[in-house]
Amino acid sequence: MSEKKTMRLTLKVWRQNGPQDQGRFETYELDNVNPDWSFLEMLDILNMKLVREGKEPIAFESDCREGICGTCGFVINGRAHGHLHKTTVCQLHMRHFKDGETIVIEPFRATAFPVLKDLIIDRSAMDFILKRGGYISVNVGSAPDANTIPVPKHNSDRAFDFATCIGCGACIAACPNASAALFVSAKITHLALLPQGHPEREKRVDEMLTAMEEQGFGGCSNTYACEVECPKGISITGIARANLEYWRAKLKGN
Amino acid sequence: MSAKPYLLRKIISALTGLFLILFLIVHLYDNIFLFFGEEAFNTKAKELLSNPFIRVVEVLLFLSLIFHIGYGIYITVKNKKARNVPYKKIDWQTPFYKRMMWLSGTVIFLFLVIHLQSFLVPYRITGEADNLYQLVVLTFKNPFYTGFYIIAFIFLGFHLLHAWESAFQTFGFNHPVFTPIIKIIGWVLAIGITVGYSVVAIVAYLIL
Ligand code: SF4
Ligand code: FES
Repeated sequence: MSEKKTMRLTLKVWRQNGPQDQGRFETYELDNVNPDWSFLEMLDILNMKLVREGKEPIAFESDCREGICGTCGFVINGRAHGHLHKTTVCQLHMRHFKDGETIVIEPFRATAFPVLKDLIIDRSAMDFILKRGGYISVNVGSAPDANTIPVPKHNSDRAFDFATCIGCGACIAACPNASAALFVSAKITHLALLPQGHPEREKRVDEMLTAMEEQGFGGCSNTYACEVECPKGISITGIARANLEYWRAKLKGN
Repeated sequence: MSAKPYLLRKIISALTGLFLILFLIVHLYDNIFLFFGEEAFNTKAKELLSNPFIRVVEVLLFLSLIFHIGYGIYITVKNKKARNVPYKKIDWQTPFYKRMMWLSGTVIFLFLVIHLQSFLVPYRITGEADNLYQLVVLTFKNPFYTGFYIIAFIFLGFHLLHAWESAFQTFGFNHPVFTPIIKIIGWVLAIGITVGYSVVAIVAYLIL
C-alpha cells in the first residue's frame, strides 16, 4: 500500500455545557489526520487527545456508524451532515476535506431541538410526531398469508423510497424555517401508498401535521433545501403528496 | 390556541397570490394603452371605472392583498420562531430569493404604498387629477420614481419566480411531466411581468 499523506486540520467546534449554557466555539488543532478516517473517527481521536490533556471531550452522538440509524448528525461548514451528497457524518470521510482546512462544526439548530451538550440535541420532538401517526393497525394473531393484500410493484417501490427516512433531522436543520415537512411527509407518503396504511389515512396526515406544529417546527415554504441535505435522498415530491393527502382528507370532511 | 397545520396558512397565501398574479397581468395589459396616446388611455381608464364588474373585483383585490400581506407576516414570524438560535456559519442550499420572500414582499409593499399614493389617491379619491395620462407621464418623468419602480419590479420578479412554482406544490401538485412546464411558465411570468412593467415605465420616462 502506498504511503498516505496525513492532514492537519483546524477545528472550530461548538461547545455548550448544557441546555442553559450560552455556548461558544472552541478551536482545536489536529495533526496526522488519516484521510481514510470517517469524520466521527477523527472526532474520536480528537477526544482522546482532549482526555489526555485533561480536558472535557466533545459530546456527539452516533450508533451504527454505517449510515442507517440516523443517530449522528451535525452541521459541518454550514451543511447538515457535511457537503457530501446523500451521506451521514458517520459515512463522511476525511479525504473529502483539504489539508490545512478550517472546519466549523455546529449542532443542528431548531427551537424544537434544544442543545443538550455540545453537538448533541434533543430530537424527541420528531418522536412525538411519529407517535401521532407513524403506525398502522393490524390484527394480532397468526401471520396472514403472503399476497393476501395485493400491492402494485410501483407503489411498493415508491413507498419504500419514502420508508428509507432514518429520522436524522438533517432536513429540519437545513430548512430556513426549521420545518419538519420532509420528515413528516416521508412517513405520510410511505403509508398512503400502501393499503395497510389506509385505515388511518386521513387521520394520520391531520394528526402528524398538527403535531409538527405543536412541537414548534416551522412551516414548509417550498425552498427545497431539505432535499439537498437528506442523506437518504427523500424527495420533496413526498411533500406535495402529503399536501395532497391533507387536502383530500379535508375535502372528505376529516 | 390550538396548533393548526401550516398548510391552512399557506393555502391562503397561495390562492390570494394567484389572484394577485392575474391582476398583474390585466394591469400590464391596461398599461400598454399608454402607448396609444392620451385619448385612448384616458378613455380606457374611464371605461374601467364605470364597469360594475371591475368595481366588484376591485374589492376582492383589496381583500386578497390584505390577506396575502397579513398571512405573509404571520408565516414569516412563525417560521423565524422555529429557529431561536441562528447558525453561526450556514451555507444555505436554496437560492436567496426563495428564502427572502419577506424581503421582496416588504419592498413590493413599500412600492404599493407609493404607487397608490401617486395614482389612486389623486385620481380616484381627492380628484385633484382628472387627466390620468398626464399624471402618469409626469410621475414617470421623475428618474427616482422610475428607478424605484424598476427596482420594485425586479423584487417582484423574484417574488413571483418562487411564488408561482411554490403555489402548485402547496396544492399538492408535483408531477414529473407538468412540474417542469410549470417552472418554465414561472420564469416566463416573472421575466414578463418585470420586463413588461419596466418597459412601460422607461418609455414613459424617455419618450412620452
Ligand atoms: S427526511 Fe432525510 S433528512 Fe429528514 S429525517 Fe428523514 S432521512 Fe433525515
Ligand atoms: S451513526 Fe447511524 S447513521 Fe450515522
